[in-house]
Amino acid sequence: MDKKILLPDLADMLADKAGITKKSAESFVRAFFATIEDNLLSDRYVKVKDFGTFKVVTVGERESVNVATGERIQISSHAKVSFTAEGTLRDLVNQPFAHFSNIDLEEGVTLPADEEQPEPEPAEEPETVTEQTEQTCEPEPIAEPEPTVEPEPIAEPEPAIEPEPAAEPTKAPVVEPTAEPAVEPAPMETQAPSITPEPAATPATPTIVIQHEEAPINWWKVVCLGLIVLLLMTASYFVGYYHMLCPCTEHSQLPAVIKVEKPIPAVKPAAKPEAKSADAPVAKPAEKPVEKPAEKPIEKPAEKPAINPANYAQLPGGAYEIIGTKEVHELQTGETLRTLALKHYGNARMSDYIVVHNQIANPDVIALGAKIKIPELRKKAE
Amino acid sequence: MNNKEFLGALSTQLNISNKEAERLVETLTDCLATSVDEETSVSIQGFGNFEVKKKLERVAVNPSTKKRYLVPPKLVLNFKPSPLLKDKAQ
Repeated sequence: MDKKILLPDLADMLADKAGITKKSAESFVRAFFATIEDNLLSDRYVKVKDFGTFKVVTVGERESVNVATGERIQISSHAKVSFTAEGTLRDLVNQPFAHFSNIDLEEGVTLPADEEQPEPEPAEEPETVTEQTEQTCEPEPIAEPEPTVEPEPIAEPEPAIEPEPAAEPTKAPVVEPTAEPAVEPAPMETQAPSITPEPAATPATPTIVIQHEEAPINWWKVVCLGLIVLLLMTASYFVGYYHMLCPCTEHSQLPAVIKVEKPIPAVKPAAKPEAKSADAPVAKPAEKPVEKPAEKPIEKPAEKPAINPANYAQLPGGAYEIIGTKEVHELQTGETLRTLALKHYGNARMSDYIVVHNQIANPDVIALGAKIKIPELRKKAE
Repeated sequence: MNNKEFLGALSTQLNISNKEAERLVETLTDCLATSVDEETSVSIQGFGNFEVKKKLERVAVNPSTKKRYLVPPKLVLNFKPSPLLKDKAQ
């Protein structure tokens, strides 16, 4: 009981509800309880309709034990005032639980172990898998040897037209992790180191084949499964996400195929820190592939030396920092910050960065035609 | 003392009609019910405290049919007489 309501408060409420003066309300409340008390003492029984019954009950004498000393003591007969709420009052008080009703228990029913909520993970997993191939990278970085990491940042600003080798080492890790979510995490540690150094200089599919051959027999199924998942995801990538790349495609003369491979190097360095920052691992990996290929060739090299994140409002706790305005977008009918984020970063959750960058007070209500600045994002240094 | 007698006593004391007394009692019941909850008690000086207690769900057995029921949890209004009233009741 944290709060206590006293008689005057009750009288005020009554005055409001019944439309009488506070003074008369208070005198009524006082009279109400005084009458109950008087008649309770004289009649030992007062019943008020829809309120309850007050009774004076005589409790017989009984023996008890003094807890402190263990002595037997006699409790003498005394009167007790009891109250039972009735009708309206009882129902109103119990209103929060009113929807419950008695349940018949069948023979042999064991008593209710709390039903365990199904864990959200299984439901989410398929989603994330279809979303982006790269996502699967996220568990992997932990196992991955460091050396492979370092070269990537350097490769990042390079023009998009890159020989296969650049895409190569990255492709390999992508394949393994796909298998992992489906199976135990243990495999990845053994697999990752063995594959990353692999210097195969061919496009993705050949490498995978090589892996098959090298993998021990007990991994055969795992790799197979991973391959299927990868294929599915690549397919969905083309079907569902390719159109997002289109607007940016004009700048780079690359065929689409190279582009798909390209994002992967970009993802790697970024995905690694992500695994460490607990912040929404699912969300982060997704955005990279779409964002990077578009910007990297054009803007990154030029901007890198000049940017100063301190000039812009940052999203606290975000894995990225805002380093500039990529473009200004006029909000059209049917567009939301989430669709914008999805379009520019490949992930609706990135809308937070847009909100921060534009200093939008209420992201739920934005005027049509509002100019929305799309922030340029950069992975935060560790 | 039943409800009718109670309303009669109340109305004579306050010089109001029985009907008005009944309406006010109903409204007061409503006020009391809406203002008490698990964190809030209503305390009337010299009379007692009204507070809400939560009763947990339990299994009850119908003694004649031996059928078992799961009785749901409920909120019950408890009245705790003040020491003053207790003394007077002796």
